[in-house]
Amino acid sequence: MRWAASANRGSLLWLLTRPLPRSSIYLAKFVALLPWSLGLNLGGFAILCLAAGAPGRKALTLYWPAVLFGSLAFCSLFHLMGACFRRAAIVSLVYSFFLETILGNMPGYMKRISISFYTRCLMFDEAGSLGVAPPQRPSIYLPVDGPTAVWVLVGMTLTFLLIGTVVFARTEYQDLT
Amino acid sequence: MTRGRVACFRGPLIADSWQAMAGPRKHGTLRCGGFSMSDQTVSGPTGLEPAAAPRPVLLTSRPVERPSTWRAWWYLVRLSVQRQSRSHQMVWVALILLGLTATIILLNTAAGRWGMNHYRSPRGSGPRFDQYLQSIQGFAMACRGRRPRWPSGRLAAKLEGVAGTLGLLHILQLDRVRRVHELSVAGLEHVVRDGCAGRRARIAGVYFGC
Repeated sequence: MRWAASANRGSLLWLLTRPLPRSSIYLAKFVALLPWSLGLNLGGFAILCLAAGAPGRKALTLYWPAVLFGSLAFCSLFHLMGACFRRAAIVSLVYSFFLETILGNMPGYMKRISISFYTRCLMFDEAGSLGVAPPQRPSIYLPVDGPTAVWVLVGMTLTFLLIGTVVFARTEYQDLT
Repeated sequence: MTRGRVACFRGPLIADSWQAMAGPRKHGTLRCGGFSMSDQTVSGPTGLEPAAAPRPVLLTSRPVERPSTWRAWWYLVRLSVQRQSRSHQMVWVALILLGLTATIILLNTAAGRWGMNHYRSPRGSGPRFDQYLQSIQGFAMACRGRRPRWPSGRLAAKLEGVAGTLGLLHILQLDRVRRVHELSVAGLEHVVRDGCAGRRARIAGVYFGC
């Protein structure tokens, strides 16, 4: 997403002329967005939980790993979209509001291509000890267990980063001035 | 005397941007040919010095740090973080949404609405859960004697309330609570019908404190 802003401001050309590999520029941009995105997501989640009193504090201790891993996966995906599309913000909004919402609630295995499904599975796994179960019958919801969800989310993050590195290194950006 | 920045390609070139990425800025004098350059000024040859004598290229007055890719990468990270902090509009939108949500949660917390006691069944029009609980507790209190005290119509209304609670427990999939509750209600019916005697009545007594 930051690539479009950089291209619009003309700073992407400055970045690409630096004596740094393009992959390192891509990773630097990803590392730079983490403080803001994780701060807003995890910090906002913590603020909301603390505002809810005792149940919120319990939810914070249970669900912060799911928020962390989900945020990392979404950051990596949106970073990749920024490297692939000129109008990355629009593509990301369409993805968030349509694909994640619709596919993430489809019955069967279709929902497993959405990131939010694994985030919810991680939450259900954490809350299983408290008697909280998935909303539908297990035969319909088909949840995965917590460790699997963590590995899938981490794998998604790394895979999107790798793809984005390759795409960014091979893309010829034009009209940057 | 001319103000400006001059790049000389006879010696090792350290451009401003790369110098900024690779290490701290050096303040000093750059001499190139017959010109003497510093950060602020460039002066031409004075004419007093012999023009033919080659002059060494002097970059800085301090030892030059070797350019480090790792340091340049971290400088790029820091620069990107600073640039993203200028995205005021999106940050403000996110903070406003966060504040709105936090306000709603604080109102819910202040009203004590995080439990299920304010739920109604049937939804929207029926009694609240805590009203069901009060009716059951009142029923249990009324059953303390050996014989039922209430007329049949009132008893039926109370049992209807208990049945509604059972339906809610079934909907909420609280199986363990529902089983205990069913057992206790059966015991209560036994109490109402036959008085406080027998195993079911004792279970009801334990459950409701009769």
